[in-house]
Amino acid sequence: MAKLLIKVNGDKKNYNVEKLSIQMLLEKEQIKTNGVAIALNKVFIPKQKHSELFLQNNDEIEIITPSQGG
Amino acid sequence: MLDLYGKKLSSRFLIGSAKYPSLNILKDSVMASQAEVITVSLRRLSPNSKRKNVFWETIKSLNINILPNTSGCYLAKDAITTAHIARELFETNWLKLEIFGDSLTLQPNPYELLKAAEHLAKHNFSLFPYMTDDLVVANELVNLGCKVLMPWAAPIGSGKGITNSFHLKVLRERFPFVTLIVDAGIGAPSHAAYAMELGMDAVLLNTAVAESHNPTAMASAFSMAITAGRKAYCSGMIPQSDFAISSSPIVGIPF
Repeated sequence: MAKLLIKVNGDKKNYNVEKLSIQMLLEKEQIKTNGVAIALNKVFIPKQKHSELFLQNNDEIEIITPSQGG
Repeated sequence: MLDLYGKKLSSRFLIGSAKYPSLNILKDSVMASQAEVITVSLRRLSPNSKRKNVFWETIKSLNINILPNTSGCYLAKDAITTAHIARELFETNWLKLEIFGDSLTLQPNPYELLKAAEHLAKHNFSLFPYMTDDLVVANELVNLGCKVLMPWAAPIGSGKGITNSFHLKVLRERFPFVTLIVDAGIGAPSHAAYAMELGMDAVLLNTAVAESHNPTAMASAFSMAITAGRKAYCSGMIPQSDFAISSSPIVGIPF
């Protein structure tokens, strides 16, 4: 099975799958989609595209959530 | 009433959500502040965090307006990405556009700020640009459609208060119809009152409340100071004089 190397929030992770959408990655990482947003290679990806956008080798995903701020 | 992109608010105090000793103290402080706007930021989801975001649940429970910031960005393109993420997460067009240019003073970078503001204004964001007190930058931002400007008082978290009141007065004079919110560097309620006496429309602060010994009481103190400063500005303060002007009547002195 093909291996996909994806950087998730700065950590390198291998996924043994042929195809991996953003939605599938979130499910594999057990991350609830409510209250998080996604950037792929530093570009914002709206929620409605999470299931139709498939990741490439060496892609970088940022999973972002509200935090304290001034 | 304070007008923020058409939203009318009673309170002229905008409060930050960082650095509180606990979420309960954060909640109590925001309530004591009577603020109707709270700033939040965006960060990576912690790798171990599979549970609910307790911080976010607390903020939502306050039921006040959310002002997301782009704090931590040094480039326009990163601030733009953060802005789009914020709009989806918080379901608001409001954005505190914050782009640092210097890591020691966290002074905003005017070049990147204007670049990002131009892009985001075209994408219907209602911008709250964090800026220095520079008149020319302010003018450019207003020309880009900013109805709110947020000049700094002093470096973030420094508590120094208003370091350049002359520039703030000039901004007030030159932009009578722009909402001016002093942001960053406020340390004491007297600083906030002074900002309001200078004619600022509101004050945004965080550290001075959150890192005080009693954040809830300090939030209340700032709330009163901001109200007092506004009342003073609207009442018209007397001009300063270099010499004494007797308060008591001169005519009819008996001895």
